[in-house]
Amino acid sequence: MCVVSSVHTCHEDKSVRLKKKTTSVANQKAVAKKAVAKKAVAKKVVVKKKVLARKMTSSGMPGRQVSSKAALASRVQNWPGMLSSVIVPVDTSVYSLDVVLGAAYVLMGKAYVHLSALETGSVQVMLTGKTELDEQGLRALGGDFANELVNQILRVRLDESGRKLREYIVAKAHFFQQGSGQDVKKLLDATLQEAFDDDPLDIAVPWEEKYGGGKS
Amino acid sequence: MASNRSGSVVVHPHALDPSVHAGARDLSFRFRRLKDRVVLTGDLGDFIVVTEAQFDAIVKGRVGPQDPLYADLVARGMVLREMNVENSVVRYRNRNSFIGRHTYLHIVVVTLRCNEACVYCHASREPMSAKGMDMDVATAKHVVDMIFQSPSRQLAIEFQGGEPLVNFETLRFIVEYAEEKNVQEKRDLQFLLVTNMALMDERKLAFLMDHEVLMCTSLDGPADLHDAQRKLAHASAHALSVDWIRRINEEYARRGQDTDLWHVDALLTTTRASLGRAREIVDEYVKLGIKTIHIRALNPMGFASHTWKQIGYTPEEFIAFWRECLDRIIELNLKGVEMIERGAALFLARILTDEDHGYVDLRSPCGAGVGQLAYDQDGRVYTCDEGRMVARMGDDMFRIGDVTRDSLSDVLGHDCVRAIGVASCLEALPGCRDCAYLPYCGVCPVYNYVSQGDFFGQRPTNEKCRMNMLALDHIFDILSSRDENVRSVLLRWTIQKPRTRHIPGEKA
Repeated sequence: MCVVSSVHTCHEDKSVRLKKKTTSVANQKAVAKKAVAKKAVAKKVVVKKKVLARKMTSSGMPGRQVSSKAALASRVQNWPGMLSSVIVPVDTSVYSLDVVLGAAYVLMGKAYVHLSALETGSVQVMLTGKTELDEQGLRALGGDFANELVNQILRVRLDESGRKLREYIVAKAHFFQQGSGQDVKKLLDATLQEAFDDDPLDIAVPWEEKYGGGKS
Repeated sequence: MASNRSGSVVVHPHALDPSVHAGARDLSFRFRRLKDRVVLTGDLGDFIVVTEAQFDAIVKGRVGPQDPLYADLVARGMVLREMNVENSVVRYRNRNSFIGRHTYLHIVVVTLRCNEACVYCHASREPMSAKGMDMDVATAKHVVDMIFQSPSRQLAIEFQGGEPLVNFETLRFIVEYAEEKNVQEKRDLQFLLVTNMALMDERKLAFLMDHEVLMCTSLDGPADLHDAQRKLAHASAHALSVDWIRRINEEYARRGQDTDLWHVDALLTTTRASLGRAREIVDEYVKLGIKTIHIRALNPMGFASHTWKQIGYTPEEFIAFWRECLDRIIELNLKGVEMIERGAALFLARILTDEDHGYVDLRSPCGAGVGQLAYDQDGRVYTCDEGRMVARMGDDMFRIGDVTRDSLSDVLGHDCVRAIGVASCLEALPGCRDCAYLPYCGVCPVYNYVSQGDFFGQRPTNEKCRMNMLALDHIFDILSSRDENVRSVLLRWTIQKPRTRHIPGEKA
């Protein structure tokens, strides 16, 4: 998987932004020449927009639900904070939603995170840097998220792999004073039986059998 | 797999290969990357530091029984096998023995008045002229009665304030009444006093010595620094503190007590003014013969919440200072000077031993209510000293009862105690449950409430979490280094001395 190619930064082209600004100023001047009253109204509108923009930037994300890629795209274009945002599309057939949420949580310190469900069933993750980031910084942010997805997969798998035994250890430590080896053997057998009935990845094949040539 | 901490966007091709996880069914560890190495930790606090290549082999299931690394993983419970499960049960029970131990630390505020004005006063002290700020004897009796309702075999009564010596008569009553009750109760009873020493005199000292009240004071560094942070009218707070530290230590020696175990402990509260003066501060402690220094960060509570802009700092700045102090202390240890940094020692005890160090902040769940209680001067009971500090800021969220009308059972059954228990179980907290440092760490729901608005908080933006992570990163960096001498120094710090399980003033 090429992470870099799947990360889309949301920088507007600087020249486009300058052009927009120039056009906007020119238009305002034209309006001012036509009617003083209209100019006053236009000024009020501009001020209101600026206040709204500041509010949205300082408070992060307004958090409206977005249900499709197209909607998300249009939303981003109108978002004042978009200059520091990066979008990472995540294929949920590869990464479970728990993994995506776990990775999003880890990045909360660096970025405001917004998840949107796409019509395809996948998830679009928009990360807005808490500090202003240049394009390189945004790519690194997206890369960090992508790598954290992989970390999260591993953490989830590790959590699952020893869970029953850990639960057994904790339960026995707290509730029973003496243990017997028989209990452990039964639990181990039951664990293997229950946990790996559905085993498309061959996880149930003991480590030693698969790689070491025999059980320990 | 590339590090998520490096800013790199490269993901190795095998990262999503199903074979990565095949054969990994027995693995039981959490992991964290440190530079070019990976720290693996088990539920029992065991750890192993491996290279990226070794980590890669482990998660791919390519470390077989013939590999020495495999034996290491089994021995540390990171590969669970029938043979190590039973042993793990016993060790887990030892590490978490505090769970069934009941409330043993009781912080009693005999007065809110204080003769010193500290720039960071977490307790929001009252001036000496304030009225109605002292605990009366009737309330004190109720407090002691409630303390003895705890089934805990060990009971520690810690006097806090304000300045406890301002209301010495109530302190004296509590000691004598508790000792009287203990004739029948036969508990392991211990008294601790946190004092600035400025109101100490020979009469008080004789009483405290006779009743084996352990003493702890504040020492923020050399005179100019200490006196700038802890202002005392018409006198130097530093001079008084230092004089009494020397006098008390002499008295312990005169009475023939083991001065390795019986001596005045001191606490350092770090402010912005402390940064950059690590060496001077540590040397000041050494000069006074103090063998333990606890380099504590500010809490955003009490007066510190108002003065934060002047005296506060970032977690990174604090840890840089702590590391400088630690380097100096280790350097001194290597020269034969006996000295411990208490914060590092607490972490090391969790990392290298299965003993419960009794420190209520670094455990899961935290000790609020179930490990400690705080009694204010008017008889109100709080989950912990921090909860009481929040009440002094005008928010009674952590008030759980009153000694004059509630039983200990009522107090401990309070919804707030239960909520704090839930909010401090690391095994169920996002950001903690899969953190490699879970076996050594703890969260403070009161801190979370003050700094982030709810008991649970958010780990990625939590400054206390950040400090713990950075501190543990550094400790593991040292533990995995090749310098055997330095590692030996840290190992020595984990030896617990039998005098006490609790160092007075930890909650100050």
